[in-house]
Amino acid sequence: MSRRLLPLLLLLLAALVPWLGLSTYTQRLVNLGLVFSLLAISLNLLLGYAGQISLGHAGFFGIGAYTAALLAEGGSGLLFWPGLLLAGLVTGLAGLAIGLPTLRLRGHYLALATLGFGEIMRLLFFNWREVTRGMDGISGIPAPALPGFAFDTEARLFGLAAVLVALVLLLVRRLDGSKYGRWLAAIRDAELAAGTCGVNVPRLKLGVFMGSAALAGAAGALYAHMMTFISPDTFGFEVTAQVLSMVVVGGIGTVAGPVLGAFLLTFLPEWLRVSNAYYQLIYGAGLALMIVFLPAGLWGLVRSKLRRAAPALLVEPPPLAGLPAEIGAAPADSALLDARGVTRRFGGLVAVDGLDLTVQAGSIHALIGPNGSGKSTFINLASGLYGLSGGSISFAGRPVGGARPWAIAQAGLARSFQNLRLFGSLTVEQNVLVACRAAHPAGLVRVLLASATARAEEAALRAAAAEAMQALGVWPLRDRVVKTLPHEQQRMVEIARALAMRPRLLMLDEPAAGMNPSEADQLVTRIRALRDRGITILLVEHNMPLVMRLADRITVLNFGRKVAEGTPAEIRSNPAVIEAYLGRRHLKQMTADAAAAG
Amino acid sequence: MTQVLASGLAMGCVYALVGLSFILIYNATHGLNFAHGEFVMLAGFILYSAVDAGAPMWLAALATLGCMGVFGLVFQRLVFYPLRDRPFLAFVIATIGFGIFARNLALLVWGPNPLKVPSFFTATAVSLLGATLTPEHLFIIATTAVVLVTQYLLFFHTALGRGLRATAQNPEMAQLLGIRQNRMIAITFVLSAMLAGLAGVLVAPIFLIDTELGGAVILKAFIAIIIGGFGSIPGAVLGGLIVGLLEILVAVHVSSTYKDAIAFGVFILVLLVFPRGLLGGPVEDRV
Repeated sequence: MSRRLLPLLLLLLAALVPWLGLSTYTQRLVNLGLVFSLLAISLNLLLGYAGQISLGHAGFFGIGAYTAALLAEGGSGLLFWPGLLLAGLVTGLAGLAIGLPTLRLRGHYLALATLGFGEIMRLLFFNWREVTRGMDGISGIPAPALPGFAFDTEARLFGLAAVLVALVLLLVRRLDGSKYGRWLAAIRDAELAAGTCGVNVPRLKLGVFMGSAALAGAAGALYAHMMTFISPDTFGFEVTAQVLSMVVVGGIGTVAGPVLGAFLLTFLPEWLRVSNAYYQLIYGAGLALMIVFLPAGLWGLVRSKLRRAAPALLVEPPPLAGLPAEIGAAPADSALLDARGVTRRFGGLVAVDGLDLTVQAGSIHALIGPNGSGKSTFINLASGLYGLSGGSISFAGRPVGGARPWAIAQAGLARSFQNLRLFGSLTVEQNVLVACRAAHPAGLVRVLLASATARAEEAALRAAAAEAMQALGVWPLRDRVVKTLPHEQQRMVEIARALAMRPRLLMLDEPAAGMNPSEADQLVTRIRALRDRGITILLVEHNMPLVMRLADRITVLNFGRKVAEGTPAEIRSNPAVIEAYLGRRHLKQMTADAAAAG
Repeated sequence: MTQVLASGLAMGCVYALVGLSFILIYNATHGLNFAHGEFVMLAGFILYSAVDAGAPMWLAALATLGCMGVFGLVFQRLVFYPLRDRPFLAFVIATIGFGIFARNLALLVWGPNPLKVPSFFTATAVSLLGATLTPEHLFIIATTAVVLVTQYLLFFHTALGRGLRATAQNPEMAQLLGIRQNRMIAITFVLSAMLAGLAGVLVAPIFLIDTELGGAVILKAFIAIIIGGFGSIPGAVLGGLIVGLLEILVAVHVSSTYKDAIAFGVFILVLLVFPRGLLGGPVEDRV
């Protein structure tokens, strides 16, 4: 079944529901299923797409419900619309308050903080009687209305809720297929690498957290107006756990899964006709069993059956567009990267110690040295993953020391990782696309509206990705999920991803590790081609023959200090270098040999 | 006042035990066990059943700890082991599911009414340094102190403790040095379940046992962990004592309705201004 046809079919099916002759009670359950669909979609946005968890979604749901209820209580049904917006706004702000301190920390802080937030909200709903009326709850919430039309029957409420769910699903699908969807997936799969690909990680995480909270709040507003009565027992941890189950059972990270899960779990008690304890027992066990045995959920299972074989590969790649003129615009022989007195301490260990390093524009500069000499640390410093303990780094004349990784990446300084950090669940093309930037980026609103600007941007991004993939020879693999590729091809994807940033300086951290000689030869050719296109290269590598063939200039580090710098020929005969690599005794031996021979 | 402080300290000890046992699993596996509160609850119910079957209190307590040890092993095999190589959220979700399962299973087995176990002591009050104290509170404080010392000796003065610490710090290296990683993790779960069970046994006589017992204790333990500094064992203990005292002082002097909300407020505040807690390590991921 095609991806286009399925939503249409579902919509048609949904349109039939009010005419199925369901009892009022069943119709009410269907409507509740729609409210929980919204709630599950909001949690999935966070959990499935961005890989962040919220254990306080019942709190957001409750804030939205109380906001709308207090606004419209005893008033006109027209107040539903401003209530919906206000509920989204208030819960979005609550999301900001929770997300801001916790999202920059490791994931478990968010889990505990949201759990605590949910508990605080539950206590507030129960005890802040002046506002929430405590256990009495709030009644007399009007049914939603348009001028001259009230959604006052179950069938009419169904229409309203179904349209809202369909709209949200459409937007989520667009988000999923857009650059934002890829960036979220990048954060989920490898947060550090997302940052070095130019993704502003904290801003995006906070944005999706607020969006998820706001959507949960809007679901709460719809719930309040649908039930016309709310009380605090609806907004406890039980509901959070229930929504979590809906997402997991339906399918984490799928568009339709949460809706499937929401309906399944809303109707399950009806079908089973058992007491609440038995029902909870089943869905608790179900939650645990699903995550162990079927992590993709029911929809994931269905989808894997529906999905046809991958489309045949295009044999003819599109013609190379060539890099834009501004690349390599820096005059040759000027300093592109300039490090002065760079120092980095880890506790008592000084990993980089007062290093001065200048990389000339247009050159291939190699950074070599024994293990632990500070090479990778320097790259981590220059790409903003570590803060400087001392000294300064400037790139193209602007200081970058202490700047955040995405700012540095966007300034034109890209890198690859020694221990591969690809976005494992994405395809090769999607990996590369994460790093692509278009000249005329479209904002979130345009992306959600699928405007002409957004479509033009996506086309430009794909062209840029194609170019980067061809330069590294991974174009034929573009539809493969990256974690299924062998190691050396993953390395090429890493470099292609860095190249897709269209950097002025590319820092490669041991690109040839694990490659056999013929693969390394190919790598040499490719790196030279990059240099010839005006990209400056800083290469960290242990493969000495490769370094000697490639490098215009070599800097040798030992114990975090520079011990030598020069052309490959100078380095080869430098006593300090031989000592650093082979030890003092060997150096004496070699000097003696040389004297004897001379 | 001494009475108030002693009761705060006693609850603090319970939070410390629960927090500490939670952190043991976290340090060894990086897993957050959201069913940990249910460990405490389960121990309470098992204790009740043992007493109900006619066992004397001390025997019932020992039997409970034994059961909890076995339970820890089974839990590790069923819930942790299949998910050991998956993202940390998988274990979080699975344990939330398991927690719901355990609570409702307990509801079906032991019923909805809160149950009462007798005190370990016949006396209702003892005099100490001129103050009248409840023997339960003193017992909790003393037992916790003994457990903490034993645990310190186990971790820092035995070969097993070295293996456990090595596995927690660097599982791959530990494995290369001949330490059986899976066995160490299994032992960690057994230890952790027994400590959580001990907290349940200690708290059962002063609380009523119902399915909410675990939830009430674990949330405070989480706050204790954050205040003390995530991942730090002394921090969890210190944090537990702080939360216990804070809670009782707020309840006495400010508001008993909002004591929990205030505790969570403190928790969010610590996260905001001082995410490392009192004794914690780095809070951001390293390269």
